[in-house]
Amino acid sequence: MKTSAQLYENLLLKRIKEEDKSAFSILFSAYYADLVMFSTTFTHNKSVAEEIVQDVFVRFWEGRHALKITGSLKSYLLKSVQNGCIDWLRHMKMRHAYEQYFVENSSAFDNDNESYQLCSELQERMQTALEHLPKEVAESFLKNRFEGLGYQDIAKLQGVSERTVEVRIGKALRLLREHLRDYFITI
Amino acid sequence: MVFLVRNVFDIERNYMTELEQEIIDRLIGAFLAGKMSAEERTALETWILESAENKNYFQQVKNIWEVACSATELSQIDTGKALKKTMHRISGGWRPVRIVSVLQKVAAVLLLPLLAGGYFLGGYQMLKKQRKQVIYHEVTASSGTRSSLNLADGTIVWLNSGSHIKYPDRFTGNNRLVYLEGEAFFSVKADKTHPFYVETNKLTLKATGTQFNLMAYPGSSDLQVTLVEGAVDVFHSGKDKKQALIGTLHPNEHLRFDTLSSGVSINSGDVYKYFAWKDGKLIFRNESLAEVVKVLNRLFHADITIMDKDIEDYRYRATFREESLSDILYLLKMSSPIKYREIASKAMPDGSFSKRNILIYKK
Repeated sequence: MKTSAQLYENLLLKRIKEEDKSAFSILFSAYYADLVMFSTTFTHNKSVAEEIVQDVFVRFWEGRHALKITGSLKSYLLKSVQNGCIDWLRHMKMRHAYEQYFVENSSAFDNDNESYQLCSELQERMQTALEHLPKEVAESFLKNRFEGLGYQDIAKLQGVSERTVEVRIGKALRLLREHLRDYFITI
Repeated sequence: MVFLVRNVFDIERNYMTELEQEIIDRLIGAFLAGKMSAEERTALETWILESAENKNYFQQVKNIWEVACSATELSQIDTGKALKKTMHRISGGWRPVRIVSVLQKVAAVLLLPLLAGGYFLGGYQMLKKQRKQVIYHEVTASSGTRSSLNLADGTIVWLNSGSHIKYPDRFTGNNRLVYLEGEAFFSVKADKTHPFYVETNKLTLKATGTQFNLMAYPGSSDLQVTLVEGAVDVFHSGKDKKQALIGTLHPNEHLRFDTLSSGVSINSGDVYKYFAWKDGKLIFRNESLAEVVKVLNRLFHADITIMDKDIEDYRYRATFREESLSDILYLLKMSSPIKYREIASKAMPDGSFSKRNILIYKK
């Protein structure tokens, strides 16, 4: 059973195939920011992330007549952006031989694009979920994800070992997942 | 390390012990930071591939990690700018005017099948709800055209040729605010608790449930506000003038503000000519040729020049309805001792033509 959002998206796709640029711009506006945030997790660089996402949309428009989307439009876009990021990482690694441009080889660590939750989708619940974490666990998580501190710095700040910080981060994610469980149920 | 993990698994298959939990937490924490030894990686990989449940858990936890961004990070992404850039890349240009009509058409088409199926129409609303930030729409009426649009609160806006408005898809907060460049007629939905503001480069206008015309073309020093019904306050925009009040208008009053001299004049009387454009009429009531030419240049995006100073002050009284520029010039020529010559337009590199270039002489 399709939701009205899915029906709406199917309609937009149909309009896009009929050369409707305004429908395309609605799609772009709806997904752009979230896709950039997603892209940043691979590239760690916002302007590169933006370029990659824009390229994805341009290719999306140019290939509009041959679009084959199995599954949701969201997962299609996530996969396209992910592929774009991997290409970029490979390119960077080749050109610059930097260790930091790490390309994941094992499929064990892949994302599940079908039920992936976007930034804006989890935003609101994230705040309340964070409030339910034990203090030092929440602090470790916030300092790392929101303030961009490394584990070493957090360890110094909290007066614990780096290993303990690793555990706390893992625990924060475990507890957050409990709170946000229902968001991951696919329709 | 690997051995230890495997042991725990063999003993407790149905649920994770606290120890196992802590081990996995640590491994995942280390993985996400990109700090793992080869053995630790293998251990985690093995655990993930053990069961669909484990894989699920890992994917969800990684998802949360990746999207745990602050709301400001998300709002700092300039979607509008990226959209403009992208639209230019997909060749052929794009007029934003159609966004409004697409939404209306889409809403209409969506309504029929959804009602039939018993769903509540909410496709676009659902997409919107998933985005916390307010989206700004921009509409431009290209030269020689007019547009009208409805805002989220029920306010109707008529946009004159060459004008541009920016407005949010929904109004939040205590005030309703839109941005205008050019000329527009507003029929504001009454709501005394949420004043309606129109901000332009030099003037800002505050209204509650009124009908008024505002003309503020960038690059023009002549700014005009005409009030039909209700009440408006006109302020200076921006920080340097501290948003000082310029004037308050009553029905049938017309305010003229000259940005060069900072002179303000308010007149009352028959003000219809100032917003007759919205009904497709162009009205001149004893306007000088110089003034007429100024209006025509603006509306038709043309370049008309008066070559003889003597005729600048010829006065005209006319009502035009949807006439083309050529027709209007012809009629002016027929009713007064003037003649004009048009210089052929040049083709521009992007396929369009340069402005129509017309010279008016004394006959």
